[in-house]
Amino acid sequence: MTYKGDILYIEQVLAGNSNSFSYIVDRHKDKAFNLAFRICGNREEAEEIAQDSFMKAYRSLGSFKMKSSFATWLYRIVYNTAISNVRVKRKGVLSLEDFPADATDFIGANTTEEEAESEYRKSIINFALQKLNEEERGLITLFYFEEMDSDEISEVTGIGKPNIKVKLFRARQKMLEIIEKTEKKKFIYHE
Amino acid sequence: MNNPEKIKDDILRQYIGPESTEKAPEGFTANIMSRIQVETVHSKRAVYNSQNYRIPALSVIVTVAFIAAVLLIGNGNNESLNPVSDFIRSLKITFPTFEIPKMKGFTLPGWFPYIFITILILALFDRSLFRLFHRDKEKL
Repeated sequence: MTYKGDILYIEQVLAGNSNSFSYIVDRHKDKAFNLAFRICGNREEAEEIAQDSFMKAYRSLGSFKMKSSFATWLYRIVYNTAISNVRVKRKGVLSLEDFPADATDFIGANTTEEEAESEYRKSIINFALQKLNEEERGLITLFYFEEMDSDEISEVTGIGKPNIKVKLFRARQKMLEIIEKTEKKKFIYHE
Repeated sequence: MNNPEKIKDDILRQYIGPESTEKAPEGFTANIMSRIQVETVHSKRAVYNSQNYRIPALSVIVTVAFIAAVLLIGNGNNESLNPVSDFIRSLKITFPTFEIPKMKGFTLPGWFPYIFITILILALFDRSLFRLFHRDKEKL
């Protein structure tokens, strides 16, 4: 079901008040950006993808069915835009050597040890995600970051429910292997 | 999810906390809204232009009707063909023929100068319409 506030603003936009779309953007921009960023792995590209997705949503708002969830509809647009963007601009595979040795690399002039540790964890996740393929990145993001269940993920990605479970299992396995290797490197570095 | 899977899931969740969610950059909403505004102006302009095509289209129809009426009178046929030609005939206008004295035996058809004048008027009309459109485009 679409959040009531979304319906109100969608109706206003459809009635000709395009400024109401800013409330919709404000409500969903972080999640849309995060999904785009996790799939493409680059902030500039993610911003472009998220903006293009909002523009696509704006243009086809008339075809949106109010009974379904607006968030799921929007994420489907973001997911498809990001996947096709990544497929066009295929990048080289990152090596473990490219990854910073430990949290000390993230300590700056105004950074505490805790903040540096949090940054380190974030970058491990980013690094591990970039070692997966774009579809797996999308699935991990929707399941762990957006906390969607397999029904919602199936609606966004168009992948069947049993297939999602299998793909998520493999992606999770790969992620943990990469994290393990990265953490091992950290211990070797400290020995 | 079975037990080993649950353990793996928990480990991954330790790394993916709420702080891991990337936030959209500053000015994100403003950028989208300005793109929407540009698009709205473009679509309004398209509607505006399509509405203004009605004027030249109407003028072409009127001119064609006028020329047809004149030609029907000019062919010397006295039969009533349409209300426009009837009306013009009722005005009892006679169209002079043009002869070039130096070229004996050469006479222009009676309707020829009128066609020429009509084309000239249409060209001027087109020019003034073009100026009107151009001025409005600059305003937008």
